[in-house]
Amino acid sequence: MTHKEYEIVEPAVTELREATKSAPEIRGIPTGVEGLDELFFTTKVTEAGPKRVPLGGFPQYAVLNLTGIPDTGKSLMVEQFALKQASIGLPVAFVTVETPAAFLASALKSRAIAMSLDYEEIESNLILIDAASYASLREEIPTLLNTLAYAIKKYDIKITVIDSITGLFEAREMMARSIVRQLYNFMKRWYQTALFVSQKRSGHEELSAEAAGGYAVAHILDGTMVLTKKMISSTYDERLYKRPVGELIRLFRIDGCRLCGHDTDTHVMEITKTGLVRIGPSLTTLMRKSS
Amino acid sequence: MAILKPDEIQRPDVDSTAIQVFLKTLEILGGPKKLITYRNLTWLPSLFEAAYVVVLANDYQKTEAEIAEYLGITRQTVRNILRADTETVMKRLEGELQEKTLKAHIAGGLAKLAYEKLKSSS
Repeated sequence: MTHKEYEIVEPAVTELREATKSAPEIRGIPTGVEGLDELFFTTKVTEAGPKRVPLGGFPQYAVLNLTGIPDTGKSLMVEQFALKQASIGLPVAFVTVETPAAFLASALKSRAIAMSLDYEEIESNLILIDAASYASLREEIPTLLNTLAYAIKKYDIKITVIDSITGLFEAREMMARSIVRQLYNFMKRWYQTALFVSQKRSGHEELSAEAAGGYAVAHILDGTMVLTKKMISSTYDERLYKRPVGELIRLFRIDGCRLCGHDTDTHVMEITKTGLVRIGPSLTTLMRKSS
Repeated sequence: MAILKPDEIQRPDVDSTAIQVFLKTLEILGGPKKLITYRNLTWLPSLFEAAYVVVLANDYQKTEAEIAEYLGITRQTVRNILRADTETVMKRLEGELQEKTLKAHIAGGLAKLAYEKLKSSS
């Protein structure tokens, strides 16, 4: 038998001009989080030269990673995003891997009230896929993807949230890269704007993009946002963060985004009394104020 | 807020994926006629077995023990299939065509190669 030559994948070779014709326009998808929409930007040519213009949300069709240690506000952030999108009429698939759908639904309802959103509109646009209760969705990626494809076709879904992808490779972290790659390719094939929550392990540096599965998630997805928290424990911290000793402060940073420009500062993130997250000033701004 | 019902969970058919991988291995080997010509039809069960192992490991993230139990084969056979080297399998195939029994790591290499080709074209 003769050794078969490696094939040439001709369609994979494209002129930039041709690729540009089918390139989607990057526009902002409102995040539902106060202070976050302005942190992603694009550049426009004006008479005065190139100018930075806020995108007004996450870049459309981006598949983004939101990572952090426990109790930093990851789920709150993706829930606000899902609610905001559903409230403005865009169908959203919310794959819940940690909390069973019924419990998530009640949390979403109280969150929608806090955000003063039209809950009736949300109810008809938010589709919950309960991977927390059904092991086949959690443990068999083809079943999850087939079910998602079914939901996307049935409800014309444009936005997908998975909270969290770490639950899809629990106890088999060596599969993380392969699983995340399949999910990423799927989201791209179906033109989804997607947010994936991933969890950090105790050994990970808190403000880095590293999460369960190592850097696999951050490497594959289009961008990463990181959340962390810190106890105010010294007078220096008090001066810097403008908070009393003993108080907990949450921090937010966009680690990277392939699809558009983004703010690179570390920001203070607050959870309001009504249980919503909002992005506050950057540490640089706080430092300037304190000096 | 709609919650997807249990009967809306879309479980893909393992059998049909394994059949696709199996057919791709035949294509890589040069087609069924080549196996008939070389009197190697006895390879077919091993190729089918390897196709299932590769699909269960890659698509369903099943462990070696789970695959062995599911297919009723030994863990060692599963291991040999999954650790087969796709780079060298085509070179080693030349000598193997004279053999009536297909070694697990050759069948595994072919199945893995077929699986990769199917995934890259989908």
